[in-house]
Amino acid sequence: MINLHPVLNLFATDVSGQRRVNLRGVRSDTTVGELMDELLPRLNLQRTDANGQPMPVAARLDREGRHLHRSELVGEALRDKDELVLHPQIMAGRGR
Amino acid sequence: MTRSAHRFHLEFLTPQGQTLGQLPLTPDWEPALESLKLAARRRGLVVNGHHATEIEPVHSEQVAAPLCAGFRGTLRLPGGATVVEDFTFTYFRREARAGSGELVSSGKLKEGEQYLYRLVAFADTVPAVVRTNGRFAVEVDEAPVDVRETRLSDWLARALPCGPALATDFPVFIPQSVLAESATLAEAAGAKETGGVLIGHLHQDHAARELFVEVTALVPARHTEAELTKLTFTDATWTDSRNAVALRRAGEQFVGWQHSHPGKFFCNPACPPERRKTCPLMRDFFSDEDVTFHRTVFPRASSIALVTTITDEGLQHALFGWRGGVIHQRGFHVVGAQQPVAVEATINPEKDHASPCPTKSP
Repeated sequence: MINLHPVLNLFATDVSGQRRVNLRGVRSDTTVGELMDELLPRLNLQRTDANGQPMPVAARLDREGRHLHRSELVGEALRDKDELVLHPQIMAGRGR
Repeated sequence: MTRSAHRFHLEFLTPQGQTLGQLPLTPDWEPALESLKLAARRRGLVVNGHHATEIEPVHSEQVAAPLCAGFRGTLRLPGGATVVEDFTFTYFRREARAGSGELVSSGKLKEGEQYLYRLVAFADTVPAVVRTNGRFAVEVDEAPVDVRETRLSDWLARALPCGPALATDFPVFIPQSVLAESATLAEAAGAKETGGVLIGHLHQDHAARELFVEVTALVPARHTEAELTKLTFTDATWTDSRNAVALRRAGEQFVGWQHSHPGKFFCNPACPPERRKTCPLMRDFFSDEDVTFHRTVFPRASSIALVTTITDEGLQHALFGWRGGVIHQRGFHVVGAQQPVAVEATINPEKDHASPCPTKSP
């Protein structure tokens, strides 16, 4: 279902709840991927692992109990005032 | 917003003082900012989203411009309160290690050769570029910090200190049961790493002007990808961990994380017993990967990381956390312990490993 709001206001937090941002006026035709690319640096999340490799980060929409795909449109996947939680796939340990 | 009117570089030198090169820094000021915010909260100040941070180089009689001994962070809060903290140049030690790797790649430095580095700063004449994407506005909102008002002295009276403590560190209280669970998980995982999320509460004692951390439980990480030398927390791990906290309905928050190092399996069995006793991989340590994990998931300065290592002699625990924007081993208090817990640890053990362990059996 396409959201009739031309723009949405959203919230996003990191997985530990220690970072939070407000997103104001997000256009409905923005993709989740574009949203994430703007969000990650603003949440000061590292984009690469200790070896310089890109770190995958998933956007979790708890309201629907699922992760969003980068290609989804904000206007189709989200409602006004929805909250996204960013889940990094990240490695710990001795690592070599 | 964090602002600096200076550009910072690392300058590399041989031990004899010959210049090897310079590395322009793109500093990650976040740990410094978090350290300032923690200092403010320990003073009972309210930190919200409307603060500003300024960074400037610190010079001294011994270290004249453009060289600097470190940098000074100033946090300006609404209402006029300010918090100031000095950070040493070792804040950039990870960047220094990465820069030395580039020097090795370019042939200016040999593998294993010693080098020195120092911090230099220059006035920045280029105005900062403000990025806009034109599609929406992003406002950083200070995440609420849920703090309980309790008396620190009550906690200290029923806990045993262990590990290397500094008087300037905020106290951390961990139940003996959490250490026992960490040990059980590590032993059960055998030759694979395992981990979990530490949950609990932040406490404030306004009379003592102190903030401290109480760990209430360890939520074992499920849906991980575990191997001998690494442990990956997947998006399913985080979903499961957050659900576990919600189901407990105790208002707990993520205060840190735990993982194990199967140290006795890191070393080759062919290693002589005397050498295994002194092997740095047999001690608790915090690797580059662990530092990246902590920086990414637990940036708040009150966040902690518990490492449990399986050694030939048994299990060891060590706690790590932020201090001056850099991760160090730190002390903690065990609630419900019968006797002190022995801890010993290091950061980045590979450099202590003067010569490699044999990789083949004789």
